[in-house]
Amino acid sequence: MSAERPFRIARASTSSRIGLGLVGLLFLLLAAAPWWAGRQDLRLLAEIYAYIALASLWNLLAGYAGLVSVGQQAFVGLGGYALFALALFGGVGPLWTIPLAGLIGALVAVPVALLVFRLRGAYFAIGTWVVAEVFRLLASQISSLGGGSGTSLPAAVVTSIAATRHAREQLIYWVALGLLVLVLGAVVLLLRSRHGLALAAVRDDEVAAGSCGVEVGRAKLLVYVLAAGGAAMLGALIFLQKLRISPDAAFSVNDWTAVVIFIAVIGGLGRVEGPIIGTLVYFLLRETLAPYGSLYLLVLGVVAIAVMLFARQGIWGAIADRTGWHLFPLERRVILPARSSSAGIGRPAADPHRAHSFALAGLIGGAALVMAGAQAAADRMADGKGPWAACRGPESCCGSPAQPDHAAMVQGRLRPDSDPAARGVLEPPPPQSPSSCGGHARACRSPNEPG
Amino acid sequence: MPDRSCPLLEVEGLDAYYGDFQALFGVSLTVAAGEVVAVIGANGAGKSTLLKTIAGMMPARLPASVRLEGEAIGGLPANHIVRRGIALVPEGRRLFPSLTVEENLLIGGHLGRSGRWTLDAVYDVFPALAQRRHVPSTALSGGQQQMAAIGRALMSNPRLLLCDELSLGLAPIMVREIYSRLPEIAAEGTAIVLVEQDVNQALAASDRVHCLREGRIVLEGNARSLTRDAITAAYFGV
Amino acid sequence: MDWVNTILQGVLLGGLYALFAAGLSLIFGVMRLVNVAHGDLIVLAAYLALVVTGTLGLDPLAALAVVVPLMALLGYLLQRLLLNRTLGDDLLPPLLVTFGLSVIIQNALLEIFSADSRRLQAGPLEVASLTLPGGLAVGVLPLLQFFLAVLVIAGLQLLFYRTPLGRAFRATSDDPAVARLMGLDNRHVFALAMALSLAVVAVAGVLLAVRSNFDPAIGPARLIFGFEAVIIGGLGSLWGTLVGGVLLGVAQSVGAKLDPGWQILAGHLLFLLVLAIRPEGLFPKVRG
Repeated sequence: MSAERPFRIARASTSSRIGLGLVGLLFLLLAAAPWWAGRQDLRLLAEIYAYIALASLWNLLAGYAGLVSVGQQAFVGLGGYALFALALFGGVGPLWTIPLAGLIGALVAVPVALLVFRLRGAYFAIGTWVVAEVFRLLASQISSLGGGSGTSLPAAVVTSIAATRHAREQLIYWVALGLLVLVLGAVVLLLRSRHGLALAAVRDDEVAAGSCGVEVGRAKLLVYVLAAGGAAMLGALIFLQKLRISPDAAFSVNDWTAVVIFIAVIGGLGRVEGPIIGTLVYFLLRETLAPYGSLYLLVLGVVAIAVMLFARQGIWGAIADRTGWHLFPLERRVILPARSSSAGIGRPAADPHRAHSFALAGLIGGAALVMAGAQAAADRMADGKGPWAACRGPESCCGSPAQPDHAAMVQGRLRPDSDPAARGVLEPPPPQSPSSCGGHARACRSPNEPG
Repeated sequence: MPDRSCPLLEVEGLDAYYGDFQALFGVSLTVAAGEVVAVIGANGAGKSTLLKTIAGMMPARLPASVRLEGEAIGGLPANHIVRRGIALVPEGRRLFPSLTVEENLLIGGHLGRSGRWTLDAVYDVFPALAQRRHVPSTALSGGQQQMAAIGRALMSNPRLLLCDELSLGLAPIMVREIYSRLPEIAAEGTAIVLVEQDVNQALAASDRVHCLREGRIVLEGNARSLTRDAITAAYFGV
Repeated sequence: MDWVNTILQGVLLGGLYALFAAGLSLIFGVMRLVNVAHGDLIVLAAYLALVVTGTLGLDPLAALAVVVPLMALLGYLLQRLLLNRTLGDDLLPPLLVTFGLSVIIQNALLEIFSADSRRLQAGPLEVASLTLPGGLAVGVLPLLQFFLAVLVIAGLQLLFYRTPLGRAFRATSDDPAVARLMGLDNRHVFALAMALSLAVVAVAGVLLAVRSNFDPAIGPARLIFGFEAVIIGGLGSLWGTLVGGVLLGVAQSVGAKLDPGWQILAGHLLFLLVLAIRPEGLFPKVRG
């Protein structure tokens, strides 16, 4: 069947490949920052990386999986405390605590998910907050880590990272950059895989997605656990940089969730590029308003509300809608050889010819090593041998085992879109697009269609 | 300003859309005071859309495309339209599940428009409701729910009552029972627009009939004089 | 006797938590909105009471007469001008906008009143106490507060099930589109619900201000207590909310008795326990 298909699915485009090279250069430039930037700049850059990563994880949770958590500080703090506990009591080298913290975060997230997943929608949000509070209160009970007032990393542990302060700061900077690449790479690969489609389907219509064979519960659980592990690694990194921890700082809802949410909203929810733009806006605001205390938080809140009300797609969404640019080649487009043009199924409004992806996939491409490993993993998952196959059984997947068909269908209709009318309503494909599964698409249609 | 010389309801060149999908194309019809008009058509012909647009549940783009006694009301929100005397019995009845039967009727009379219809008047027409006035509306049978939905709409003392698929999902005996009450309702001067898939029922109950197909009026005439063949041809487009 | 006293204190504290919960539950019931700024609005009401008692020289309970209508007005405007725009199928906008409001209120209070801890003085009432048979001493003020809380919840119950306004709330909650067909203006109905919710918030804020110290940062914890009481009691049931609040108060009180550091934690653990074994709450609303 797939041999007869009169079209193919494309993700990248010529310009995206050019962009890839440019982004590789940017990566090299940032990797060389220790040689051209001052100490303060390095710290600031590392902080920016951490926020981009945290916002990307939150974007994955809320923007793609529909899990609006306001309790991610639970895992940031857990990661920070894991660093201190492992380094102080376990004698683990501080840098090695970062992956271990990620593992701990992911493991702890499983039972937590079992509890909070019992709450729906907004109540889920506050449930996650309660969990973070429980963690904070428990942390303040650990007297060997300073109880409520916290503790510092002893000098011996600090010097075990690297002998000189300069070397230490360089190392931490590179770890921060590496973590950012890892998180962005994982997010992009996850979204590119069929699981990304499953996520979009779950977000747009959980019931319909379930009836199409998407395993809703497992998809959400996986995202939650991944985001928790990522947040915990970032928490370990953040407190490795700070060298001091206390329950209030580690489990701060303002620092690790409020700011992160505002970043994601302002940048553009449901867009991989959003958190990057949002983080830049945040740091611009924060550094500009630094003399006025906490005023920047107030301003940030006002801006986020304004964006939510008047430009729901965020800054990147507004740019992408106008230009058709995509830094990351996530959109699947159907290429019709007869017309030798591409037609974006999901966004009939966008001119397909202008929808050239200006791909910054290169940010990842720059870190070829990380990519290669993750790509291999993703390919394995895409073969359906992964831990959670999005579609079970051929019947539930449009009768065709050829994955791209399904991919095109689901992605086509479930592209994140700012138009609320287009959201959740599974439109029939435009007449000129060949559809190999029109009949099954009908089954996925939501009930609010004209009749 | 209401102008008594105009027909009660005039729909003229009405278009309606669901997003990019156009559901009605230049639909026109008039309803005089006290008249019963049926709108028939196959599934998806646009019948419900027509009623929803008149009642304000869906937006009409041109204000003048729906006029009540000469006043342009197209595009007004539903709560303003019911204030002017148009009530809709929605498809599928849609009673408020957490309200009792009587509370459903009372909320229908929420605006306090004066007229013949009071709780007692509704219970007179539908005695079955009087006995069950304090049970949750979900405890009623389908037919009783339809009666409550009609009663709820009447409580606003409308000049025009729009009924969407009264027979939907009801046993034939119940359908006859409900239709038998319509003359009593119309007798007070309340005009009625009936949307029905059941052509026989619609013809028997109405003075005039309009047939919709694919969003357009394809036939219009006196309910008694239209021939079966003409209706079949219009209905199916053959 | 010590333990009886502990539990009694917990029950009285629970009245306050039930008030936190009632406003939250009301809004969710009518328009499926979870107001993340709820706790911060309680704190705002407390500061408002502080200003009113300070400038007008009123005693705290008399200040209610000013604070309640002011907060109700704020609620109406907030809903009408801001929150109504966020309602729809997507739950993200209301959640994020109220989350933003929470941060804004917190930081605005911080700028105006500083981070210092405040308290509302209630005069001789603060130390007055009743001696119950068996030698238990109960403060008059906590007792008064508890009965005020019960009164407010009973009033809400009455309003919801016995008045045209309550009918409009329930109808709009059931089916907003059909409610419009009845002539109800959703925007107005929702704004009235928010006004009512913030009126309850105002009572809760004043009681909180008299009972304990407060500062701009304590809002989120009040939101969480209210939320826990709602879930423990069962969504959508006002009396269940009262029971949820009381259970939460008792759990905190017992926790505090075991170890002062365990007060809040004990409440959270009770909530998680309920979530684990009976996620629908203890008194879920039965619907036909």
